[in-house]
Amino acid sequence: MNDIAIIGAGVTGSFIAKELSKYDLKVLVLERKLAPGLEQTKACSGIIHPFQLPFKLLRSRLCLEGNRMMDAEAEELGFQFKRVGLITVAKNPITFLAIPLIILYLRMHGVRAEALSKKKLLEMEPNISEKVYGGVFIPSAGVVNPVEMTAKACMFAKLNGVEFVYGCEVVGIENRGDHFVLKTKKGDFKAKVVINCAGIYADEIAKMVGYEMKIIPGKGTHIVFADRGFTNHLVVAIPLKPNKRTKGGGALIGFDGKPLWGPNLVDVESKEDTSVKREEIEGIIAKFSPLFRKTPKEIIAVYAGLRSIAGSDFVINEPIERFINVAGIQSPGLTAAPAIAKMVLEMVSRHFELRRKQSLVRPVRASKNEESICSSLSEDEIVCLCNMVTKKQILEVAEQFKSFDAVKQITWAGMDCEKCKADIMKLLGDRILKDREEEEIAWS
Amino acid sequence: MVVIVGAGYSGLLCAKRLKERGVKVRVFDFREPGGELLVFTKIPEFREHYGKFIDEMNSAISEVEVERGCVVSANPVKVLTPMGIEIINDSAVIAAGAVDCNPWTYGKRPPGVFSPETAIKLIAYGYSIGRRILLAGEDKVLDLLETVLSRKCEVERTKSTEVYVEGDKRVQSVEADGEEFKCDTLILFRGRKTFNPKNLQGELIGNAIVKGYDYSSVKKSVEDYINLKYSR
Repeated sequence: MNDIAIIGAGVTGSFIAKELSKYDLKVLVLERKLAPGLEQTKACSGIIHPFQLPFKLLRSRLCLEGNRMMDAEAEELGFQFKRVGLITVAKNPITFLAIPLIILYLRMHGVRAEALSKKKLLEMEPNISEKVYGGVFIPSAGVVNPVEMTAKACMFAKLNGVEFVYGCEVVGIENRGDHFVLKTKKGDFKAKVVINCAGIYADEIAKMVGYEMKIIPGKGTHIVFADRGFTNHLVVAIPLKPNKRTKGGGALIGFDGKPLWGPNLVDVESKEDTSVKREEIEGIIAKFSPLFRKTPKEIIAVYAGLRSIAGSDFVINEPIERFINVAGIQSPGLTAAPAIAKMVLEMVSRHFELRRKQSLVRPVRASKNEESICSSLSEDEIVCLCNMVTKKQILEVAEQFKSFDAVKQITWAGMDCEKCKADIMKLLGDRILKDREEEEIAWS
Repeated sequence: MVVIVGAGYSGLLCAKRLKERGVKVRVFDFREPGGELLVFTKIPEFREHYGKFIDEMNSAISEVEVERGCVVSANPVKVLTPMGIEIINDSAVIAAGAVDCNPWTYGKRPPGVFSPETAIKLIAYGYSIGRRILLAGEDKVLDLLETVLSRKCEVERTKSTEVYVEGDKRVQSVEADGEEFKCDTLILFRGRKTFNPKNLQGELIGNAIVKGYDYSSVKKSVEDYINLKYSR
């Protein structure tokens, strides 16, 4: 019997697993994909948001708290996190006049912000259009690789005793009074407490124990450009009138510095609809290019992800004794994840007497500095030159997660260009490529 | 001395020509020498098509010493080698070749979408890449690929590169120019660009400036460079 079963190893479930792994609990994570973070998490923007409006919402509070925790989390788990900062730009006189008020308002809520003159702004971002009036700089905004962040939380949890079962979709739940039985194709799993982190499918999981809610998929499309360094900060325009449903996306950057424009927000019918329309791409470019003197030259990828939207806020509750929903985790869920995990730990403490483990196992960190790359070269080789990923690093991830997508998303090998994709596939070939029943036959 | 980055056709040919003119060279590659022509030798149709250049390259390999190392910056040249970091105070010639542009599409992103470069390598490595294949784009390399693939697969062509992909676990269909193609694999050619991930500053030669699959042009570019810089 498990103490706790977490359904879903997205960023939310993974951070909860990581937090619980610090205590004397028997914890199980069931994930329908072959590796963590391969659904909503992988297709989000990877932004660690500085704040979420309006400040009264739960997701705003958890966003602020998660943002403050992120340096320590990155250090503890060993994922890359850079506070690159957000520049919000006044494109017209009205928003320019609002800048002092915006700064005051943000500072009242503990968000550092400073006014930028037009001159300073253009110094910081030379590609920004001459037509802007000024802006606000918010230094606490950051970027991560969302799948790396998620996978590192899972690796920490696993090192500290959490059991993960991948390729294991929950198809039914029985409430047996003092415990639940989770039905899957890989057998039944028992747990005293169940935490529903099933993302876009959280409503269907909740329905299995008789709790009704509705998750609406909100599609967000992104464009990745090749021109690294086009901007060095996250750049957004100050909206004339804030939209309650979305922050409106921006001319963002990925954790590797490449321009990442988007996301938009389109309500879709299907929970599998991640298709990208030409009009969306044209719309995103039309929306953000007026902020700049020129548009980045080369598109290298377009992708869409789904937000799971259950009204305007996160739904973190325990509607049925010992069944905890962590649902409707839309933006800024990635930022909030560490804070959500703390909150869920509190909720769990009602059911268990929590004893912190005497000692925790820390993950070993791969170093990317040049000396350590050199010293590894005698027995290892660089496969991906763009992101300096070695054969050994790729095989280590492949050892844990039997998925191409996971290797690609976690190590970032072959994400930038076509040079090494076939080589990585060959490297993993015998382990994964020949398993033609799996979905990961090849990369696109 | 001249440091040549890349030991494919261009780097090797350049090194050989410079040696003939008495110029000292050091050639670095992060992989084994041969570049993409080495891949082409493993597919009969490609071996035949590029035979002349492969022969030239092989003769250069026997005359030029290639060092294993990853050049991470130029001016001065900084190389990561198993022995440590080496700094060389000489100019660099960038012969790192070209790479296919990413084959991004509208619609979904299922497995089964490749650039010609990735497709050619996978075939060379002995994998079958699909059963019903759509080749999208325009280039001689696609004609050559069509010949190779037609041996075992159904192959269709479209000139359009603005394509919509349908499919979840694998490509199911592709829409291009208002026409729908049923296929499990899409090979999409959006052109080639210089492969220079470290953004090395230096003289670009060979396929790094030609950016294509036409090795006559690649050869001409290397020879033009040599004649211009080192005319006797």
